[in-house]
This record gives sequence, structure tokens and C-alpha cells, in this order.
Amino acid sequence: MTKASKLSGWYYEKRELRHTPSIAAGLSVEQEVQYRREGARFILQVGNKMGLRYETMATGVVYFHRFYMVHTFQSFPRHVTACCCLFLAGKVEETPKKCRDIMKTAKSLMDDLTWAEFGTDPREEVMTLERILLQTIKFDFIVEHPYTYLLKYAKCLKGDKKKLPNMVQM
Amino acid sequence: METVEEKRGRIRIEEKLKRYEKIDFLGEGQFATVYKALDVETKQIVAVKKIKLGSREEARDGINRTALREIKLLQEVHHPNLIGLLDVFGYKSNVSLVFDFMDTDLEDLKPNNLLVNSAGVLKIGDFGLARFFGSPNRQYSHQVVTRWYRSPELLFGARSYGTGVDMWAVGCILAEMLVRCPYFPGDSDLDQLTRIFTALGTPTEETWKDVTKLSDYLSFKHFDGSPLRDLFLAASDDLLQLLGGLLMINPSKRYSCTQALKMPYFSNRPAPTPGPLLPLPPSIRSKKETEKPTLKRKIIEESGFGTSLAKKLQF
Repeated sequence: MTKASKLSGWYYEKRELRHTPSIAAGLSVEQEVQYRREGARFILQVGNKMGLRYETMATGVVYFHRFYMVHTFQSFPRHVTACCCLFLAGKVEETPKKCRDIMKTAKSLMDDLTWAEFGTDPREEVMTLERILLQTIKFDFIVEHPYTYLLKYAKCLKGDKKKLPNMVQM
Repeated sequence: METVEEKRGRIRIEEKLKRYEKIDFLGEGQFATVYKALDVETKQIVAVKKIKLGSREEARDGINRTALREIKLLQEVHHPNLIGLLDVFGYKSNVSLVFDFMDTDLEDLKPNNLLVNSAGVLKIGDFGLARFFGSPNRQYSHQVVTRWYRSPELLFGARSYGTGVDMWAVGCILAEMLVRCPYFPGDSDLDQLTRIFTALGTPTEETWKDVTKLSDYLSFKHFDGSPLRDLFLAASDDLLQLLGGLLMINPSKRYSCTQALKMPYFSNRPAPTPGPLLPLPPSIRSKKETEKPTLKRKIIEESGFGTSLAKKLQF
């Protein structure tokens, strides 16, 4: 389990990103992109509402993207996965939240139809998925985020102070 | 109906289960059970540490955080003196960690977590409670470190502490190697503090500023303490100097690792015996795994203290 071999596991060619498991199973590229966006946004919504730190949410989002490079949106409902990713990220980033509380917050943010994705025992659903998630991301759950570096570099940049935030966000 | 992905996931787990063939039961701790196993792929002998699910209450929140923390740390740190994590896998709600196999018994910083292999290399073997340096400024739990190796500030309930707690533990281990039995074997937190203060003196606001403000602070009977020279009769001056720096009651006066390593003790003669030349316990020498001497014994024999100090230590 060398660092290099593990790292390379999460880098993809553009071509591979257009041939994800979901797309291979019939999803359109646009749908895939939309689902990924929705999932990431949902993690941020739940996390923000619970007062989690940005790193925790960002880690959850990375898990989410990695998860769907192995599994399909067709067989794993994205909101359940999103909750599970945030749940695990909370523990990894030392900002743990109870599964029950995440579920409560998630429920308050979605309509009944989406909530139905969670089945009859939502907590159990997320717990079961956690084991699949851990296997899927190969227990490789340390994610280093670029944000601190980005801010540091942005501060060094000279030029129009008004244009700078836009540039950094690109 | 099982999906293709689920099936794939399952196959992977089963492959892992097949990859490690259980040979022997090695031990059981509070958080885990450890087995000796053969890695069928590499033909290496490994130790498989199966993390216990924890209490029902804990299991409600999925994978054990202590286990997560240990995996996280072990993946980050690579050092010849830290036990190497080879693989991680989960099955049902269990998580198993695969480690280098060490010839001494497997299982915070205490002699039981110091493992020595047949090449005489010492490795620290348990990171369950260790945390990243600079991990979020959350308040730490003070119920860490086996009591006998717990520092006074932890016993007084300090919630923000530093690496000094480990240096205290190192001091306790060093003292234990000298007297060959745990040096402060307290049977309660109160007894632990009493033992420490009887030997080294009771701290006051003068010797340790703000000690009285710690959440579990109790005022103790005043002990003057004894000079280390009187407590460790056979130890040399340079060793006493090191020990004194490690067993400093006030954490802000305690030696850091860097300071400790600069002590003359580490450069004075005799030089340490190279690992491979250290005497091996008979059980390992003859490759017999039947009865192993205790780890403590091995550390004494292999640390070099055994040979250089044994003649002097007469208790």
C-alpha cells in the first residue's frame, strides 16, 4: 500500500470521466454531471446547517465523487450516499456528528419523495452503506484539500483586488 | 436482488478473507483481537488486528472512531520505529488492520505497546489514541494513556495538553526498565497521584503555575519528594539527568523529545549495541513460538540496559 499506488488510484483521464459506471449503465453524461452536482450541494447544505467545518464537507464531497467512480447512481441513491459520505467525513475530520442527527437535518431539507430513497430504516441504510463506502474508497480517507494553499497564493497575487476573488474561484 | 457492484464488493472482501490465513491467536485488548496470519500472496507472516465493534451505543454510530484514527495515522506516518500498516479490510461491521508481524507480544505509550522484532528493532505499536499534531483545536479527552503512564496534568483533568504527556510516559518506561517493575503502579487516579508526589514532591502554584486551576485538581498532602539519586541507586549521573527531565511534574518544564535526545546520556559511552547484535530471548532464537518471555523482560534484555546495567543493579 504505497502512497504512489494509492494516489494514482484516484486520478482519472478525461476519457474515463465520460465513461463512469453510471454512464456505462445507461445514464447520460449530462445526468451524471447533474447528479454529482446535486450530491455535492446536498452535502454542503446538510453540513452548513449542522455547523460543520468546510474541510469536513469538502472531504465528504470527495468521497462522494470517488464512490461513483466505482458504483452507479442507478443502484445507489445519491442522497443516501451523500449523507453517508458526510457521516464518515465527520468522523475522519474529528468533527463527528451522530448518524441520527444527520438524518434529521437531511430530512428537513428534502421532499417526501426524495426521503423515500432512504427506505423504512434510514439510519440502518446509511450504516450499511458506510461499510460499502469504506471498501470502495479503500480506507483511503485522508484527503488533502487545496483551499488553504489557494488562499495563500491568492494573497500573494498582485493586481486588481476586485478581480482577484473571481479569478480564484475559477 | 444483489447488484453487480454489490457482488463485486463482496468478492473483494472474500478475496481479502482468503488472503490472510489465520495461524494463531496472539492476544486480546480492550479495542481489538490480534491474530497471527499468513499472507498467502506474499508468503509473509503478518499480524491481523480485528477491531471490536465496541459497545452497542458506539456501534450505533458505525465504524469506530478510534479505529479510524489509528488507520489514518498509520497511513500518514512511516518510520522505521513505527509498526507498518500493510493493509486494511472490512467484513460485515468489523474492520481489520494488517501489520508487520513482530516477534514480541502484540497489543498510548507503555511497555506493552513497544514491540521488538528478531532484528532487535523496536517499534511502537498502538495508535488508537494518538492524534495528529495540530488536529482541530478541540478539547482532548483526558482519559487517555494507561493510568500508570499517565502524566500529572492528565490526572488533574487537563484538556489541553501537548506531547509532554508522551515524554512523561517515556520517563515512566525508563524508570520501569531500571527497577524492572512498573514505577508508579497506582490502583486509582488518586493513588496514582499520591505515588507520583510521594516520590517526586507535591506541586504548588510556585513550582507549577495554574496547577490549582485544572478541572480535577485536588490539594494533596505536602511531600518533599526525594532526589532521584536516592530513588535509583544504581543509575549513572547522565541517566538521572535524563530521567529527571522526563519525570518533571510541571509539563512546561518537562523535556521535549528534542531536548531529551541532546542529553549527554545518548552520546556518552557505552554506545548502544546494534540491533542485530542484541541477545535474543531463547524462544525466538530457536524459532519456537510456544512460550514467550514477557515483553518487559525482552526490553530489558535487548535495550542494552540488560548487559551494561545488570551487574550494577542489585535490589
